[in-house]
Amino acid sequence: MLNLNDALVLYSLIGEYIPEDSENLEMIEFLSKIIEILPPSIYFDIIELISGKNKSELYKMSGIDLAILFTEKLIENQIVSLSNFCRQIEWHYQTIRKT
Amino acid sequence: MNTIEIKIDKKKYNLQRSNLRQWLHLEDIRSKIIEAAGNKNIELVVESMYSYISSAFRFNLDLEDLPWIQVVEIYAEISLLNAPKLDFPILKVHSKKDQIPLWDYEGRTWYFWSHMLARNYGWNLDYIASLSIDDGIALIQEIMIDDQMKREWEWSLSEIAYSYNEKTKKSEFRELERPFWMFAQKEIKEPKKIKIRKDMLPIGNIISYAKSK
Repeated sequence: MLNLNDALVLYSLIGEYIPEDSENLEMIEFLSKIIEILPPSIYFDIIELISGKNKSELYKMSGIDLAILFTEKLIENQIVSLSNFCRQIEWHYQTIRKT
Repeated sequence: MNTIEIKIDKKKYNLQRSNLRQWLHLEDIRSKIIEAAGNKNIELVVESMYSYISSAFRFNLDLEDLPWIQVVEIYAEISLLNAPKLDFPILKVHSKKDQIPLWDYEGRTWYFWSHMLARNYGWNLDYIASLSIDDGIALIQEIMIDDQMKREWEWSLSEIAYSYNEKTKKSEFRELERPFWMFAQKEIKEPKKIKIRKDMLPIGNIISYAKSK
């Protein structure tokens, strides 16, 4: 699991795309909603941060393997709890933007 | 609950509820965390979170390699341990952001509180520092109420408290404004039901709200 600094970097990248009602969503629904709206560059930045692999390694992976790595690592890092904590300390983002 | 056991990296530590001085220091750090989070300053949030935990333990802990969730859990446990046990109105959050005076500096909260307590009770700094959190807050609230009542009395004796109303040709008393936490919570009462004579009711087909539903 990420340390606090990296976890906050992760939230600064992904926070904007986390649905407001994340607590009521099933994990699969939650993650697919994020993947749907995440710009590719941020998607790669996040996978790089949470997997510890560099971009050239990631570019060699298939789309499905990337998506699996992305979801596994987000679950491992308890993304919903991270989002709740950041919102509690008033790390506010605007609600989900354009789809 | 005045002591809790906290596990960090397989080591167990007993942590006691803070005294007044330490609590004020922790609250200052908490404000810093919230301000840094509002500014999305990751470095300062992390530094302040570590500082909050180390200050509660009174020694430096190496928290950089701990999973984030463990750090947050420790932070939450410490906050809960040191939360005031009574619901003090003085701690209610003001909706408007208070303006920071020019003479403010880091760590002033302790000197502000200790100055008020020393001035009113004649206690020394060591004694004030060792007060319990709830005693400290309750006494500060009483001092502020006394000060406000005194100011209101002095205000009522001054000329500027009375303004002349040209319409009524009388002087009217203007109350001195109270701090936000001293306002009584107004309960909204249901309006009284009043019977109206039939001949006083409006003419025509009356559709009441209850019937239209």
